[in-house]
Amino acid sequence: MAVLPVPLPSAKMATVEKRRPTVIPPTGFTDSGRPSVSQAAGATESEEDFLRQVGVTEMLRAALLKVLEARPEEPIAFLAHYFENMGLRSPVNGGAGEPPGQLLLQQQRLGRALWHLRLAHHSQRAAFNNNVTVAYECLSAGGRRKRPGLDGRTYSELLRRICRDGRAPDEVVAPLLRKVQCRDHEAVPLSVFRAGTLTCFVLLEFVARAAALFRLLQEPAAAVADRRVGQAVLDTLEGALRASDAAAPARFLEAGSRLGPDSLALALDRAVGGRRPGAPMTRAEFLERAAALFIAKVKPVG
Amino acid sequence: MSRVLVPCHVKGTVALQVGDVRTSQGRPGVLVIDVTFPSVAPFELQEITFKNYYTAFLSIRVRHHPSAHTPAKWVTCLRDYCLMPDPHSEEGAQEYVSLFRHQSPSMTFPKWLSHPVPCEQPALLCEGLPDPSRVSSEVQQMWALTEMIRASHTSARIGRFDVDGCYDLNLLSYT
Repeated sequence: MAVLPVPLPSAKMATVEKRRPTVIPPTGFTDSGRPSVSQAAGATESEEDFLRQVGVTEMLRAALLKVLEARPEEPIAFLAHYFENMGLRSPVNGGAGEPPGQLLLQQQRLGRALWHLRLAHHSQRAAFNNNVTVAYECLSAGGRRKRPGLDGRTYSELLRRICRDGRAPDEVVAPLLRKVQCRDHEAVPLSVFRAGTLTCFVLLEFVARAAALFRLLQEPAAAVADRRVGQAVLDTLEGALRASDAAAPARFLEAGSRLGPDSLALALDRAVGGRRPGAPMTRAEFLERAAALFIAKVKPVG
Repeated sequence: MSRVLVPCHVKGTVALQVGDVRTSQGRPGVLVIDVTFPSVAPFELQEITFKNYYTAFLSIRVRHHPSAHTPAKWVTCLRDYCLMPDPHSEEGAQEYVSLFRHQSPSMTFPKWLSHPVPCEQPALLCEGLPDPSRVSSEVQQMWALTEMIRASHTSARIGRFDVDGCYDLNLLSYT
């Protein structure tokens, strides 16, 4: 009669020892080789176990993951901001006393969402999308007096904050906000949220580029540009955008050739060489008109 | 520059045709005339003059000796040069024809060299104009950002049911 092999008693005891829960099983640390099985439950706590218990291990791990995802230029400052924001997550007085008011909670949520959205540049698309999702969840979380979901008012407020903190002038971004904002009562789905926030960040970069461009165009002495020059550049950009309205792939080649240095030089030469200089163009006007070209291509919410 | 007649020996015409000359009917359409130059001294051929007699198209092939070491090879100087616009009419049938060296295509440059693309050299810019390459770089980035946002639009609807911000039941639209 065949006898089934019986597991060695020592191995069986080892598994039982391991399962005795003094701490949550570690996620980041691989210490399966360590002789922790010989410890009795609740006896001597190693430093590792202590860190694990208070949740520091998990917190540091999440922080390092964020750094890897965002790849900031100043990691220390980034981490400092990160931990500063961590404090907002749990109530300051740990539950005892009056919980913070609804308005304060809302501001905290907005601040936290903004912080998440700024972690990665919009060109790092995967990281940016992750952060958008986290920010959306943060804003949509239900509370004691708040129903889950993101309402239009908070969303519009967030968009305004993004643009204001990006140092874009109000009159420049106002047309965009009119296009992408939602009504106060509307429920904003994630896709609309993502599209709107992305558009705002891209507009901020666009305005920054336009400002750099104006610095190239402006007169050395004054803070204004020759109107003929500014107009020629804006017209060239508008022409290139119009050229890429058609559906054929060749549109990119055509648009690209219009924006090449040679063709731009010709356009500038032509603009200056025939006409008298008109009233100079200010930076504000240039930025507003450049942004209008961008905003014209944004699809409105509807 | 003086022109010198080069003594040459023109051989009789030879008909080119497929098959036996004696047995097949019909007259051949292609005839070959060999021209040899008895003088040994090298020369550069400038002009060929002859009187046509009812030949419609003419091809000239030259046996070219580049130098003493390389073997001679045949070069086509003229191919199907039209002497008679309409072979069934009299025009050009008995004309005197002069063929010059520059008409020979083997003497001309390759096509792409002989017709350089006229490129507009940007004229010297007026004083005080901004650097076009830097302006171009900024404008191109702005264009790229706009194109990106134009391409990335969401098809999600927010589900509005109002007309111009108004919720009047009578004006509800079904967008």
